[in-house]
Amino acid sequence: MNTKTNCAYLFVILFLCRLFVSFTYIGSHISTATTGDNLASLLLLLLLMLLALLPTVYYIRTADGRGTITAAQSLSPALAKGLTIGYMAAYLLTAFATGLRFELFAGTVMLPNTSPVWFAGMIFICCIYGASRGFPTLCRSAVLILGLILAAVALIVFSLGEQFKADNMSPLFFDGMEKPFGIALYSLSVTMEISTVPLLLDKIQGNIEKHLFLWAITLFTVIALLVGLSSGVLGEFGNSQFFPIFSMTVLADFGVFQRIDALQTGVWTLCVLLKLCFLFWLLGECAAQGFHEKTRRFVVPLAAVGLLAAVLFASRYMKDILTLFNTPLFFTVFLLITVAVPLLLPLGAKIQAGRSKKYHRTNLPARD
Amino acid sequence: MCGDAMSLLKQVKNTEKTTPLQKSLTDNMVALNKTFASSFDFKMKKTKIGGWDAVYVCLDGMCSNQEIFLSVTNPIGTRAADFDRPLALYEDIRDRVSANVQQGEVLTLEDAVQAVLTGNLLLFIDGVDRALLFSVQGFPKHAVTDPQSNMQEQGSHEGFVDSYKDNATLLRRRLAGGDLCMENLTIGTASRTQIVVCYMRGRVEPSKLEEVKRRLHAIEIDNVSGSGCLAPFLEPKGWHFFQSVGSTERPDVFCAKLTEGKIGILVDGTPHALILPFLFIENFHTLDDYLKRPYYALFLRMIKLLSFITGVFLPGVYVAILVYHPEIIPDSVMYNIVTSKQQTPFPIMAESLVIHIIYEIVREAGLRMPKSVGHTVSIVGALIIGDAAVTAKLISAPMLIIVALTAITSAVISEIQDPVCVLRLGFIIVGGMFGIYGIFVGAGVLLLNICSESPLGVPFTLPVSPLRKEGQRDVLIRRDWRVLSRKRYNPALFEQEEEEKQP
Repeated sequence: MNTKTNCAYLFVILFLCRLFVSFTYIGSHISTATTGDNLASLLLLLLLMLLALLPTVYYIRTADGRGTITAAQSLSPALAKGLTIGYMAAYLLTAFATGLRFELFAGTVMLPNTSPVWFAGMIFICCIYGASRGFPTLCRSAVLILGLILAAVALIVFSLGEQFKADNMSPLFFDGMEKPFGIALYSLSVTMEISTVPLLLDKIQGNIEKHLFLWAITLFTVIALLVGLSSGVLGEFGNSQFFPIFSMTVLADFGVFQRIDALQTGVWTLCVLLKLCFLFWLLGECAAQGFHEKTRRFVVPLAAVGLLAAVLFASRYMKDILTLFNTPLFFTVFLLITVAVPLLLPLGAKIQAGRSKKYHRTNLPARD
Repeated sequence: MCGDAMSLLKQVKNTEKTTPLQKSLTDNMVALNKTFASSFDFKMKKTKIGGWDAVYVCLDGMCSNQEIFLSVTNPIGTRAADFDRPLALYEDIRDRVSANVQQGEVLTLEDAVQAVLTGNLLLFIDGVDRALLFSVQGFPKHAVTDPQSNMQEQGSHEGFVDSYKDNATLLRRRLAGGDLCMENLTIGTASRTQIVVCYMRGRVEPSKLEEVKRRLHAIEIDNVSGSGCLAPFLEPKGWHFFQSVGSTERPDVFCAKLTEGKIGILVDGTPHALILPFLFIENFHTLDDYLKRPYYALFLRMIKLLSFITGVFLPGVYVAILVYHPEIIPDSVMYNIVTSKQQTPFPIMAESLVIHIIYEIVREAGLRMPKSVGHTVSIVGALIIGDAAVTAKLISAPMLIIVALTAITSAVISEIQDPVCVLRLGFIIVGGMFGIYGIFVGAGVLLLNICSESPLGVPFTLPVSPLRKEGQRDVLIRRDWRVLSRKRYNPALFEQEEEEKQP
């Protein structure tokens, strides 16, 4: 029986995937920004994200419940294969960026004295296992992990609330729009999660549009809470930190227990585990939809091994890689798979339907 | 072993090779002797009934001699009339003799052998190509007593026994409404063990029932030693830490599960009955939860959940914190722990692994030894080994406290004690290698493993994930019976609910 999953579960996965990026955002990367710039960028991010959702909404309303690869197959098998390769490349890039970000995080703050090879290797093996369990398993796990994450966020807010100082906040748009806009664009470009909604449209059911906007608003709220709290607690000092959110949790305590950052970070590790499992599963799903079901079996382990090797290699050239991430690369990929594909596929279908109608009209047998 | 004559006759349809019985009594006895030649307990009693040669055949020890005399030989023997045809005698005994036991007919040699093996008495008459079957089982069996596992404070003191017929009777007494259905089948090429599939008509999901029966019929096994042999065939494919087929020794619990729409399986020869589909959260539910006040039921379930978390994670977290994250522990406590740890020679991870393995050895020894000695072994293990090891500074006192805590918490959740013991060791290793982060990654994998199970298509983590509002009334919080009795929640209807939701 091929039952569809409630779309709420997909959005829980997407929420956790995107939240991990926020947990591990690299502050010193944008060290010239002020706290006001960070908060202003969030407002701009919300606006940009709502705009970026519109092509997806358009696709949902016109696609008749078909995923993008399935829809592309009805237009042209070659287009479907091309689209599959495009999706896989995008998700490989996202997985690479996630792995690298986590590798940097693990190597600098989590386990600085432990060889990254073993830890990263363990994570990737676990992710292959998780991806092999399938979409329903990831959905069910996401719901349970969400409870832990929300508890962790509540703990941070509860324990650091007293240390929040409004004086640490600089005015919004104090230095103009440029820096906040740049940060917002970068944040938007790493939100590849939006592209999974049209791709998995044939696997989910329910009020997808409502959940899509709810997801965006909830995500914005939680990220704003974390960034606002870190700005208020750490002030401008936070922008010079490699991982400001982590630096903030170092200050958190709970009763007699101080330095609960290890527990917090451990909970975040569940996020990266789920995200990588989901990305690997997506790779397998794209290959199965675009090529053949059997390709799923070897695409996931091959991709995982390749990515692990790439992440470990790239970790030696972290500075150059971070510079690469600053380029329009991510934004270009984001535009292609999140904006262009959901807009152009329905248009292409309409054009094909129009041509087909015209063909039938011109080829009707003549009346006697 | 079974004795139901009607079910035995049904097995005629399933017999692949059939050899019809002969009219000649000698030929039939020769054929039976070939099968039972080396069995000392195979008995044949020659007699004359109504002027015709007849033979009673049974297995000594499987039949009740008193029942044979009172119900079979005496009523038949007192009919002194002679018959001119052996078939007339046969029909007279079959139709007119009231034997006070279940009767039937056997037409083939294979059925005759099976009937004798299952404790029935057969009567062969010379000149008749069939035999009369009398259900006179009298083999020794365990009396109904308190169940050895699933101990409860309130609730019945009757537990399942080895005989599936007695177990069926226990169920009939509790579910006298008429909807209880019990279908039996035979599994095991050598053991021919009787299995009974129990369900409530009108409550069970028909597709799930058919699936269970299909899986049972597909089992190819020599000997069914216990219900645990059947569980892997009924579980979903793949490797899982926790069993998704429940087990109970309590008829009251079994009946409660049947009324929820679940399917139960009785296995002859074992008091452990199976229940499916079984959900993960049910490992933390006991009958006492339903017989006490809701607030106390909540308290009990929280205790069990906490015990599970402690039993699985505490040793690993302790090792992880001491090795990688000592800053988490308050200074005053840390000082005491470090002081006692400094005096021991072994690394903390090795110390933890060794002491936990020693605990498992002591526990296993206490379980296998005779009861009179078992208690002594436990005391020796706990007091002497533990205390002596601390005094000799081989292990630290805090480690011993951790082991004691995990031992006690494992006993609270005895239903899942087996996977908890193994998981605990795994988490000690990942905690020792990767700290808290390794623990969380391991927990993530455990979570994925639990969430991937779907017994009979029902998610193992239902009704928590996927979330079902109507199921929340009996997850951690147990609503009052006035609420629970209003509407039944059947998790087996999951796929039906999902189908209904689809546009």
